[in-house]
Amino acid sequence: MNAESLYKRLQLSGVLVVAGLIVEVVTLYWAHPLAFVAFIVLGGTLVAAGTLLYLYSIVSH
Amino acid sequence: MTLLDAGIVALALTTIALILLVVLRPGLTAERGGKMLAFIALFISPVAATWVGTTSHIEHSKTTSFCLSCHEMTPYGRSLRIADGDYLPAGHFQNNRLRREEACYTCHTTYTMFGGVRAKMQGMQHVFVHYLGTIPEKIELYNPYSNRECLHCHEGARSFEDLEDHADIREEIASGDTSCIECHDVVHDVENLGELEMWEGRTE
Repeated sequence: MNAESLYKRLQLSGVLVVAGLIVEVVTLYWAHPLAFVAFIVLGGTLVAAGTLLYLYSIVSH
Repeated sequence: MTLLDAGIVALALTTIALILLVVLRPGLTAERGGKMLAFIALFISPVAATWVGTTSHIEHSKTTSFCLSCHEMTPYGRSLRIADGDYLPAGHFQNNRLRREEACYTCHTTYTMFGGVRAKMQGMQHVFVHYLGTIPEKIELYNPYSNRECLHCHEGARSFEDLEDHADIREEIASGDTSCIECHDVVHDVENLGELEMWEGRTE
């Protein structure tokens, strides 16, 4: 994988993690039974996808 | 907002700032310092924020206000204010025999190794039933109430140990052959809430 391709993956990974973190922070202020579900299912999945993509990118580089 | 929540927000915002730096200037990662920065921003910090966030949500799910946020629980919450100490939940709640902000959880968790996890799994099941299932007309416990939950606090307490009525059946209580609820049998009584006097004292 060349550097340009790595940078693109890092950027995509960053976008996923930022989106996940925003969802996680919003759910902390949401006093609702679904807040935890949204935190894990939406926020957790986005963060996991972002970090896994990042790890895959640096391992395959 | 708790201190824990403030910490998570600070961690998340710091992480987002670091990620933006990496995303906007990816060339930084060509150097050793940039690689470390990317590892912290894209792995360590997000995982830490998610871990601490999960802890915060779990702690929040123990609160009385969280349990009562489903309308099915409203009468049970109201029963905590029955102006009669013989009503078990009301007596405990109004006399600070438990932390009011964790009143439901304190009595309805299971005091075993994985009791907390089990309570959370059942909570998730309740959320599922609330939105997608059929809510039963009468809400009942999954299992008969165990003496273990009462003894978690009362065992060793003078008010429990010194009472003659308890001394006579000490072994039966410990073994569960005699349920605490057999004698202390006035519990939530939600069917008759409308006829009962309520205590409107301060609970915050």
